[in-house]
Amino acid sequence: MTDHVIQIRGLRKAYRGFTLKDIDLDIPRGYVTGLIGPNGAGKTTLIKLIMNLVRRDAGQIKVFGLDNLADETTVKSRIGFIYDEPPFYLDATLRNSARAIAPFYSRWSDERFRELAGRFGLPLGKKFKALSHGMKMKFALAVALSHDADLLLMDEPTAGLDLAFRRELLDELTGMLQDEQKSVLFSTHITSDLERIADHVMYIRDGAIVFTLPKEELRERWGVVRADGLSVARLPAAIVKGRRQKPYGVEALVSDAAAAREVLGEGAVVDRATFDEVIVFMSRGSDHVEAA
Amino acid sequence: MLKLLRKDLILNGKVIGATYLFWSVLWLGFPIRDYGEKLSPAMWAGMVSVACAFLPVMMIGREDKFKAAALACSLPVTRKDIVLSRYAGGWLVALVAAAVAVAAMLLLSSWGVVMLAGPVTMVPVVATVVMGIVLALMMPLALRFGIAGVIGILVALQLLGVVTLLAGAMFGGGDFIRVALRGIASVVTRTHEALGPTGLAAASVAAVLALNIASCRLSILVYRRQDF
Repeated sequence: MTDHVIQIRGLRKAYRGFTLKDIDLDIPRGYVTGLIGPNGAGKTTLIKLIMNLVRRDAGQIKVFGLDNLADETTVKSRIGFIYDEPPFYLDATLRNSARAIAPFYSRWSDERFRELAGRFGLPLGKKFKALSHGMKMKFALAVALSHDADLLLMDEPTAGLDLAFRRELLDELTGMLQDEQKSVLFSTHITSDLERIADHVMYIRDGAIVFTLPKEELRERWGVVRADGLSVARLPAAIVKGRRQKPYGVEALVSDAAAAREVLGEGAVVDRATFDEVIVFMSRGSDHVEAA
Repeated sequence: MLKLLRKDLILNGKVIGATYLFWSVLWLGFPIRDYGEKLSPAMWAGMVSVACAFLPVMMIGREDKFKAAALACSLPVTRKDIVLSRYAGGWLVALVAAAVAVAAMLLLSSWGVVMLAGPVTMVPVVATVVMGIVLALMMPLALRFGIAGVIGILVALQLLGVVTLLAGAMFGGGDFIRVALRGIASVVTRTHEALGPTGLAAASVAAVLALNIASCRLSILVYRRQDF
């Protein structure tokens, strides 16, 4: 059995003004992978390509070791999918929407759905359009979790949710992953969500994957150097991922904090990089120099 | 495919039922109001069938309105399954709706509330042919462009009618539409003479079936290429 729940090779999708460029990536099985990147970087397109909601121009996508087009029905029956804007009929009650969807999944559990609906406080007799954004996301989540999916694919699932429910959702996902065969891939802008549950972080920018790393590696190895410009210029280019000018000197994001310390010695400050810092630096590119 | 049909009926059933009841008042009410005037069963069935064929198109329009097509496409089904279920469900809904309307009309006729001007033997064929033509034309556009596609073809047909009338008036040659309708009537008459009433019915239904198969294939092709 493959160790990767999703394997992508040479994936390409071109829109007018944007291209997802020859993506190669492997998403490990049994882990939570967080997909981050600026708006318009290609996160939603990538997730939709996996679900065959948009047509690819080239490449191959394997999910559970199966081709996502040739074995579309089998693949999708094992995926719980959550959109950033859940596409349910606005004038249907939650009960009817669930009743319409349930037969498509052989592992659907009414008991589980009712339990989640009760826990999330979902009014099953209400129409979808009467719900707030948070409640809509809760309903989408209850549906996605009620058929014992092996993979949860979520596009911005926590956007617009209050802090308490975000915590609840993240705890739910953590609980689901007690079974090590289950996997989660979710896109987000909220770095604290990544910090909380992601095992791997995948960064996408301008339609290309910039890096995929275990979160711990990112947290322990990456750093932010605060020093004068000349010192930063001595750093090996390969480890400098971004720079910005500050009143006191230069800040640089480095992928190897230990190597930076070795080069710069005692005179420089090298801190651990937070996720927010990684995103801010990376979204501007390695050559960007930000004015103070 | 049955699961998709069930899903569409659960999510659209009430609205479609309410629309159908409203239309029923119109298509049964007018002949009752015009009591004393004889009603051509075939003509009436043709008009009712157009309305019945719009019921499934309406279902697709609703899906487009709610941007819910992505829901169907994210379920464990193929795009081909979705299109096939739309055609099967479309025919099912339209046929049941037309059959109920015809049965109601026959009931009213048997009570003497409505007077029919001729036999009702051609009603099933007329209903099937009209429904088939409307569905075959509308479905690919509705599936690809949603409500905009349906409105687009209706506007296009209106414009075609206006252009045809203007062209007839400006360049002579009479009313093109009337000429076209006479041509169709002539083909039907000749087929009737050659094959008899049963042969004509079979040929018409076969032609409509072929048209729908072609329409369905086109829809599958188009729907597979669509991004959501």
